[in-house]
Amino acid sequence: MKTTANFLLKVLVKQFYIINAGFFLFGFFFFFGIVKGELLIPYHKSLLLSIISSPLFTGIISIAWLLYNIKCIQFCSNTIKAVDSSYIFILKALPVSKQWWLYLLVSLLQYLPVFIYSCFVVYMAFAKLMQVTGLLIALYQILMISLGAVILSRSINKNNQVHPLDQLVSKFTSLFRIRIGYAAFLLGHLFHEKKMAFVVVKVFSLLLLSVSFVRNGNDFDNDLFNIFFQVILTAHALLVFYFVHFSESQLQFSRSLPIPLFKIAGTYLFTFSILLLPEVLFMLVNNHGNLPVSNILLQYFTAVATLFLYTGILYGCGLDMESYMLFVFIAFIMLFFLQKTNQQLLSMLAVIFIAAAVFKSHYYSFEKA
Amino acid sequence: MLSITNFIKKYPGCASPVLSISEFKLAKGIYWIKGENGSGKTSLMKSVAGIIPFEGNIAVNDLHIHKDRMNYSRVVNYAEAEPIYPPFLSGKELVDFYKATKGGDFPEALMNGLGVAHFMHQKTATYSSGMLKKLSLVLGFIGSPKLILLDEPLIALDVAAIEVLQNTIMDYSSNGVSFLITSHQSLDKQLVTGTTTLLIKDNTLQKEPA
Repeated sequence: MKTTANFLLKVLVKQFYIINAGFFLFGFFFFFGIVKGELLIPYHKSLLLSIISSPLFTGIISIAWLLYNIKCIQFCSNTIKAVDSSYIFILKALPVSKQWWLYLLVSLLQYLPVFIYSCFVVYMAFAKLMQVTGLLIALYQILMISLGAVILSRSINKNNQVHPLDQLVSKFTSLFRIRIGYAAFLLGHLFHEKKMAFVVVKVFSLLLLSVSFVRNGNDFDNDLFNIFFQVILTAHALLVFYFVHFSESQLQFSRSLPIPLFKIAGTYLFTFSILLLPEVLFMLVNNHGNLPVSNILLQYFTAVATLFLYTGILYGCGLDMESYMLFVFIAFIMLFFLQKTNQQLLSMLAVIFIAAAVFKSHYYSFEKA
Repeated sequence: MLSITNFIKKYPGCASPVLSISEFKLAKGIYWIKGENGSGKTSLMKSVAGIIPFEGNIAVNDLHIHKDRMNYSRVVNYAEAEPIYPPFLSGKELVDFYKATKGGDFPEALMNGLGVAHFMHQKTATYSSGMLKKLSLVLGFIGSPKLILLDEPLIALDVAAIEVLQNTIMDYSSNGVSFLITSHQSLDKQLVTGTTTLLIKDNTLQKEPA
């Protein structure tokens, strides 16, 4: 049992933290790095109080916890589905009760950062005599961990069943028989194989935008919006990783075809333009005069160029996730300060120029690290 | 026809090159590359196909891969040993994609001979390894190639398909197309005639001693 646990923790937990190191680094900075040392405890106390006292905030945080849990579940599901992971199915040979404890352990350890923070939330709720809220949050955490374990168990024990979401998409596409051309290959990959990641990123993006444009619509804070927008682009860095990974694995054969570099770059730009449409439409619809329309459009084009910059970075660092997240983090800081100059057109042109240069210099020299 | 100059192929994290060729020229013909597992046969094929980067230069009919990549890619075709395609695309969509980029002719006889037409409307996710291999071979003959690289073309193929493929190689060869073929199985010397054997040994490419 101990050997099996070690094996599973190495494959599903250690790998999860290694692959998402950049994400956790970013999260750590966001929670503990942006506030000065002496203000850290009061800041978190007020944050904990807000979570338990405002139903809206509790709702938003619960959705964020759910999204994180989906990220954990998706990692397990992708690892199990991977062609070279068939050895995992040896776990089926274990008694069901033993499997359950292992899956609960994996789910708990992946969910641990959220679980620890939620313990403080529960403690604060009980300290403020809000036992019902505390109890509900504790139950929610148990539900999240159990959900992870249940899905992991189903993925391993019923791996030959088609996922209901896949069934739905398959039925939908067969209705229309959409012919996919080169320009839509990346989007095809997204909607066929990375649906969950797409949904998680979009829900997260629209939640952040709704805070700026809907909740704070009457008291629009441009600095807060800029931070949120950079966070949204950072979240999209994951999808960019999937695109480049797809291009250099399932689409690698296309490197031997006579496709001009500008067309390859154009495919990425086209994909990012479509990908960011929900955000730009949301901003335009909910704007109510907070930002000039021209600024929103410039923000959109800068965002498309930023995702293209991430693409170039990925080619430069040989698809190495750790280096990639470090560069994305640096880009986050630089773009944030670039936005503060209020020279949006110049910022956009600078990002486009840098992105094109990085992509051009690294595309043909790319080799997986 | 094929010229390789100052070629060095290293992989990230490896200090010594997997393959190093200072100068190698090949005239038109059919070449069978032999070598042990891990000797660098696929690395050479992928380098010539432009799929992986390398130091040095490769040219086919004086078209240099680094200087004139588009025209070079039009005359060099590649069929992988273990082809991987996006599972959401059908064989037909891939054939159309190749036809649109490569232009030129379509190997109708090979497609019919291998029976690809029967399954080309299905998504590649449903293909067996043999079906994938047959599709990759059809794709490898699309356009107006001057050099076709076939990496382990015989694996996963049934006996009838192997015969169709070997006949196609001879047809194309008689029309001036050259072939670089890696295979652990030997080609049928009655069907494929006039092959020259090359050897990858000691991290370099050499002609097999007579």
